[in-house]
Amino acid sequence: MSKFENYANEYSRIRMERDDDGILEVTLHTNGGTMVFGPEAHEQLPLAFLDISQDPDNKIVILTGTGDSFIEEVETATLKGTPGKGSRLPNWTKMDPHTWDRTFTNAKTMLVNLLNIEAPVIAAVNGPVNIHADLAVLSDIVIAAEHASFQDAPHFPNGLVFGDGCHIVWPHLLGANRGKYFLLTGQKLSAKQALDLGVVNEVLPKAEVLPRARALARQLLQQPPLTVRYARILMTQDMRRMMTENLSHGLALTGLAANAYWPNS
Amino acid sequence: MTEFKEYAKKYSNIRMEREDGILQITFHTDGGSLVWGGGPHAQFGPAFYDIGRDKENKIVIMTGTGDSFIEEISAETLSERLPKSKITPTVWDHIYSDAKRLIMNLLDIEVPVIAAVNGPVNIHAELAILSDIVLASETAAFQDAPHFPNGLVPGDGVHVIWPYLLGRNRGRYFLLTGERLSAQEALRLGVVAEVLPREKLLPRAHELAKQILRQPPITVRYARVVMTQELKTLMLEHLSHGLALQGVAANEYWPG
Repeated sequence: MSKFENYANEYSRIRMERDDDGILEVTLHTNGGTMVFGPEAHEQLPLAFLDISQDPDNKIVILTGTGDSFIEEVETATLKGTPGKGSRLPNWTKMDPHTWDRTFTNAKTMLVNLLNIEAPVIAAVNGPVNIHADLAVLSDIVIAAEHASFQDAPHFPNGLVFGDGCHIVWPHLLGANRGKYFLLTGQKLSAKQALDLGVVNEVLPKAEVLPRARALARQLLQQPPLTVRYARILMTQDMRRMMTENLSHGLALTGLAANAYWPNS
Repeated sequence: MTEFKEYAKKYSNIRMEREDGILQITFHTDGGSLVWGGGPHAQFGPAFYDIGRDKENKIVIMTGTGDSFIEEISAETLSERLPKSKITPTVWDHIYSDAKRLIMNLLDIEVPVIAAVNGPVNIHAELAILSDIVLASETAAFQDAPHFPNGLVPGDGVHVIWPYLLGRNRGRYFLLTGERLSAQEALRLGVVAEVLPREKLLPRAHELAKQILRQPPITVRYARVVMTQELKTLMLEHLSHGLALQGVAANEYWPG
């Protein structure tokens, strides 16, 4: 079992605050601004989700971003492999299996550890997300700001296979054919479209997104603790099974293709 | 990532020794054969988890102590957590969580697991037979005693693994009748790969471990990942459901 004080300040890319009711707010960021996705985030997220899942005092989780977007940028300097500086993939054109193995491990545990959190997760999508939008839309309730949008930019439009879970999440949420189109064309869904398609539950002015997520959290917590927890377990069952069946396979093919081609930016 | 010294001595019912990446885990109670109970039930899941997270573990050998693998339950320990006929949902919730972790964390270990079954096992035999290679002593026997013959629903994963290994109908018969399979029968039915004199069991396990480790590290690890995929899917589908029904039935009847 994890205790909050042991992991709350452990992650440089993830701020955690919890109130007396057990409502845990998880805020993604880079140096206090909008999260720029990169190796640190990729490494920290699975471990943070694991800590959260092992602490029974977390009764409900709110997942949000910082500033005007949820996640829209990748650390290109790191990706391009500036020598040193903790770069984990120093030369992307040499995407050998050992390099891929680290990515494979992080990618495999990130969504699975998130789904293993046995407390409902509410996403407060504060703005556009085109990288790892799956983190947000996998939540039990998804609230989005009016200017938010959803896209899968780093994979197919960028030359890579979308085998890190995107291939599971999007066809599941959008419907098989809408999902494949979304992934293959790099389609950008506005908050309003996402609402119409059932990916998002409520679209609100940005200032109201987080307060509404908190209000919903308090509403859910009016039910008995085991009811809340077991409801989450049932609601994630289907997705956890699909991840077990399809994630490792997807990542293996992503890795094979990346070994043949890796984009330069 | 987790380091060996942080967890090697953390678990009172599991001795851990590692050499050249071969991790031997030995189940015991005070140095003798493991007596099952609330302690092991709560310890094993987290221990498997620690083992799985340590990339220095290249292969795992699982064995027991003395003349049996697991054959006894400490009624005393169990009754601490399970006061007779007071299996309330809150009490069951602990069992439910522990039982899920026990199986899932074991299957999540991404290196091959070899079981050296040193003697009879009639409690949680699935821990041994879920392994990639199962070696058994001539004295070993396999049974599921604590569930149906004892008045409980076989819902903690045994309902998945036994029909999977024995075939549907043999597996259901095994669970419902409390059938006891000798090492030789288990060998004939394909549950066990090799039956050996007791003293040759662990040497053979280590020999196999060394043989497997001659292959490249990622090959060894991914082979395990591929071989556990189907079982993980099956467990995900059926474990929570099985434990839920076991809990509902146990709420009405708990053996005295």
